[in-house]
Amino acid sequence: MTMTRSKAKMSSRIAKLGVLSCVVLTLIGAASGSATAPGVSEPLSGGGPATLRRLNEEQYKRSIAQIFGADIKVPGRFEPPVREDGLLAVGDSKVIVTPAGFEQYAIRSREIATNVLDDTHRSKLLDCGQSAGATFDNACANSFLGKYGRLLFRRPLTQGELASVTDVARRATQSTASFTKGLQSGLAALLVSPSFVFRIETAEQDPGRPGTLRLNSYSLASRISFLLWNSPPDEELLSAAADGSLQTQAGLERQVDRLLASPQLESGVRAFFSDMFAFDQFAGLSKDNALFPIFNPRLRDDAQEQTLRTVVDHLLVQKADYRDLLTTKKTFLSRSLGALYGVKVDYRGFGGWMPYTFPADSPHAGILTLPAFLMLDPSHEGRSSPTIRGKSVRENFLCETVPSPPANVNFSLVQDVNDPVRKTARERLTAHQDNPVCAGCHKITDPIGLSLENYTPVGAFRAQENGVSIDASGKFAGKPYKNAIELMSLLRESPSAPTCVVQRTYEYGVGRKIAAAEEPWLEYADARFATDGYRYPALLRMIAVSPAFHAVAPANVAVNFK
Amino acid sequence: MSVPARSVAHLRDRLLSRMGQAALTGLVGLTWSATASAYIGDSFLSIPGQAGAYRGTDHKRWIRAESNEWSGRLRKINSGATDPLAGDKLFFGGPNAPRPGNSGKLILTLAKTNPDLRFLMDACSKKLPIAELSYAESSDRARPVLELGPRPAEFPAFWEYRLKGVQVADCPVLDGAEQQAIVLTFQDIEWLNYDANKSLANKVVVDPDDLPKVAPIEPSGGKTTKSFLITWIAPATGTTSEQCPVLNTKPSDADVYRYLSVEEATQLRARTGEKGLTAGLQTELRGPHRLNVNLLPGVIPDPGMHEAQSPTALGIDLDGNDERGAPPKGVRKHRNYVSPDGRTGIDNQLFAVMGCIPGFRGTQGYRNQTSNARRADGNVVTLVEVSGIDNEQNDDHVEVAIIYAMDKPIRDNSGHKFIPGYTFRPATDPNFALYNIRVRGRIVNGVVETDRLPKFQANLGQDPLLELFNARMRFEPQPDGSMKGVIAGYRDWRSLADSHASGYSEGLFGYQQPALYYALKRNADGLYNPVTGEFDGISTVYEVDTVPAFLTAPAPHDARVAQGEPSARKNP
Repeated sequence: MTMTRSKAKMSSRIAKLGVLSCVVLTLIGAASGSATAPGVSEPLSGGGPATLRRLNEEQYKRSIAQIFGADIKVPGRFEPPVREDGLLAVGDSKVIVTPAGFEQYAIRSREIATNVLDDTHRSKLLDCGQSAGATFDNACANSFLGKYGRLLFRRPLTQGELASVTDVARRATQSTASFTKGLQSGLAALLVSPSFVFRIETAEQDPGRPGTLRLNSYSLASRISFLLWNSPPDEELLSAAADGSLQTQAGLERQVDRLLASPQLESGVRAFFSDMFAFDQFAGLSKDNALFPIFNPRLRDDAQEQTLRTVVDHLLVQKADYRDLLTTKKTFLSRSLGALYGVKVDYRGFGGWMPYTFPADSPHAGILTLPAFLMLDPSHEGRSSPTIRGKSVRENFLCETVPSPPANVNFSLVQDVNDPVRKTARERLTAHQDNPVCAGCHKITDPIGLSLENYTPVGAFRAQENGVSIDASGKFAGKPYKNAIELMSLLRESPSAPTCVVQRTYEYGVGRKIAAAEEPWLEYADARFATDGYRYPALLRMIAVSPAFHAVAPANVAVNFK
Repeated sequence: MSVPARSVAHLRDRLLSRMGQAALTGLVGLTWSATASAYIGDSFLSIPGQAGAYRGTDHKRWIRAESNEWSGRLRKINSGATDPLAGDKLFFGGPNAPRPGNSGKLILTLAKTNPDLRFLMDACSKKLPIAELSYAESSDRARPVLELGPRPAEFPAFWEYRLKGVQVADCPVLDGAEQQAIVLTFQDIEWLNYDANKSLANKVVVDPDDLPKVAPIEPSGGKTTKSFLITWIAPATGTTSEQCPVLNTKPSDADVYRYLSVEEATQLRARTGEKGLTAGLQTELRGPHRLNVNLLPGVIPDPGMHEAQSPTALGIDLDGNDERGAPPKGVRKHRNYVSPDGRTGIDNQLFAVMGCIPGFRGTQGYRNQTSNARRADGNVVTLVEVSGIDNEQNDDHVEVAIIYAMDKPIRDNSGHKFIPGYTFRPATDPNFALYNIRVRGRIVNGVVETDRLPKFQANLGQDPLLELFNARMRFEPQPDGSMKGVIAGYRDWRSLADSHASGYSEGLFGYQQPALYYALKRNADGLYNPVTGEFDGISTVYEVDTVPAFLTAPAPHDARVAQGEPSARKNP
């Protein structure tokens, strides 16, 4: 297990900061909950390598919708994402496009291009060449492909790129005797280009810090836009990149504040927390219907939405303390979730969401007691797994790493829910831990997981398992607790909870695991988060406007494709 | 147990079969749009100079008929143009008789004990021409079978006609039959109280103010409310093999040919060939002179019904009598049952009648299964609400409501298990909201019982409207938090027989319509009619299963709609 930036570890990190001549000693207190002293300066970040990230499915679809309109269909299957270091966003920097995947991109590109230039959309999206017929209109093709190429590539096309894609359109016009079809071919070529499918980050010399690198304006615009909106830069952001204002602190803050004030911020926050909470595992999630007949796709989808809606409401609408997500009684209910809880929903729960506050004596408090977390175990359809739940808390919410079990583990003892002697998960896991090979990891995961045994694999409360009362007590960080609700309070107070979301948000934004040279800045960010009352929008702003966010490490500069 | 109604599928089949019937018999002067329909129940004939024996207030001194058939006319499912399964059924169909200016045939059956029969038989033997006569048929009974809503005030209780150029054309005599068929032909007909140029499909417009004021009741003042989704409702006629050692069957070939002449039988055999008889029109026309015994079941002798034999049955003591001593006034002495929990005096005569008909036997009965499958699909969603509860064990005053909902029930992936705990909104569609009911009740040792409802009406979805008279409900709590119970009352047995008048149904569910008719009449135990001296009702019990659920107040929009906004009158 790797501990996150604990107070102890921070002390060792401060030693490194000394090398960087940063004044950070006060951060020790800040990271543990106290406010950053006024006037503490932001440490310089060494940055990490620039990345080349494949657009994920949602980003691809949002790009097409933003550029061409929401009614343009995006067909076909996308290659599966890969989770690395706790985030799909990091995995996106390590994936490739397979031949089969490329075929899908090619087919998708042609179909989108055809859709964009069909009779319904052409007049809206193409402001020239309407009467070209079979004749190639060079000026029009240059204008059209240049305009949409800039939006798709998230930067202006180079002369060579524009000439190349215009030539595709010219030759297609000649062979098909249709200018529209020619433009379709040109647009399809843009859509299938790596410059669209991948977010290719480009570094440049940082004039403010001679000898160091930073992202160029367009790459920075993309980082900010995908972090805050989960979509490509809009026209105004691209313009700020083009005129250089994005590289000024004032210009940067103006754009970040604009994006933070937009309703699209919710999309960005949803995308991040879906990634952090590993909600991609909801795809195809199923439960044994004989044991949990209430589970169905609607409940599954509603559970996911409930948590995201709770997060968005808590962080963006209420602008509340991030840590309170672990203990809040406030959530939202749909009709299916009402059935899960045995709660009547009012008319707002039908096709919508009813704000709901769990009663004070309810066994539900915080997002870890909501069904999305509790049911998100793709490997156990018929029972809950304290180990998986504990591992998820440790890894996804505290940024710790739990090693995978050895290949030869015999799970039969744990999995036998009909064991006439060991009737509860705690009894079965205790027996399992008699194997010293297993005991080490289980001591890390199981106490938390066993405290969540009062919740069925679909998230409903249960007092007993096989007729035996469930013992949900345990110890966390050396402190005893009686049940999951008390555990949630201890988790809320854990320094790891906020530092984890700081780390994950930053990693999500840069598309890679933090580099060693960035750790001092991250310690600073932890402290600022605390100073800001653990308000998530403030954290996003701090990251997005920070020089650290566009610093690039020289040793791993991405290839400049331009 | 049975659902006293035809499925739409077989109603459609019946329509098609009737079309075939007309095409085959080639009735002179009759076309599809101008022929007639039928029902089992009273209609009245008045012949100038011939006072009838009927002594009721309406149609006093008219001649009472037991069933009728405007020969050759299809009976409609409903008169509106919408989907009969899920669409708007709030229509009131106009007269079924041929339109004025057409000739036609009217077949009536009279009890052989009817004093007026002698005159008609005499007229039949003499082929006596009758210049004109008056005929009145119940507009409610003649109504297309799936229509809902009350009879609009502008329409009379009886459609009245004047038939001209009438002749008693046929009167086949069959010993052993309780009724005698009288076949009247006529040259022309007048409609006396309906504009024949008007559409026959009359929309029943329900004023929101006329909808029952039955809305979910929120818990308050220490009183709680519990709601339950009905997951199964069907006649409590489930039986074991011991209770039904021999099951009833569809009519055999011998049954079909029994009353046909040699010539008629030869023609039918030639028509059906090697394939043999097909349940439907071919089997319906098995009466003397090929009269339709599904529509006119009393014209042949009782084929006999295997009735369920059991000391126990589900239900309620409706008449306050447990068979000891003389029955109360208005009640025919009948077999009483003991409930599974030991209550005596249980009235459930329908159990005996239908318990041994394969398609109607409780949960085994295909008819009940299909009806409840439609319910499971959300075709009709009904909840029971018990409100005003101070004490769940004993409370002398609670309110029990039947409330229709607009939201579909949720089942598990297999489709067999209803998921408890879901919330439902009341239906705003008057096709359903019209039948919301609230009645006072009480809880005795955990069991919810209601007061008597003079008339209980229920929309059962694909089935005709269920009407139970002098009805009561009783629900018992179950360990899983649900309730099981019964809704019991007296059903108009003629209407019930009418709803089973289908040769296709006989084949599908395994019964003979004349046997059913005689059994219903024989077992009728309530709703005594002092005019006829007959019992018009048969004690009927509907078995109800539920799962716990919630009812919630309608959305503000729905509430506005319920107050008169027409666009709300459909389920989302």
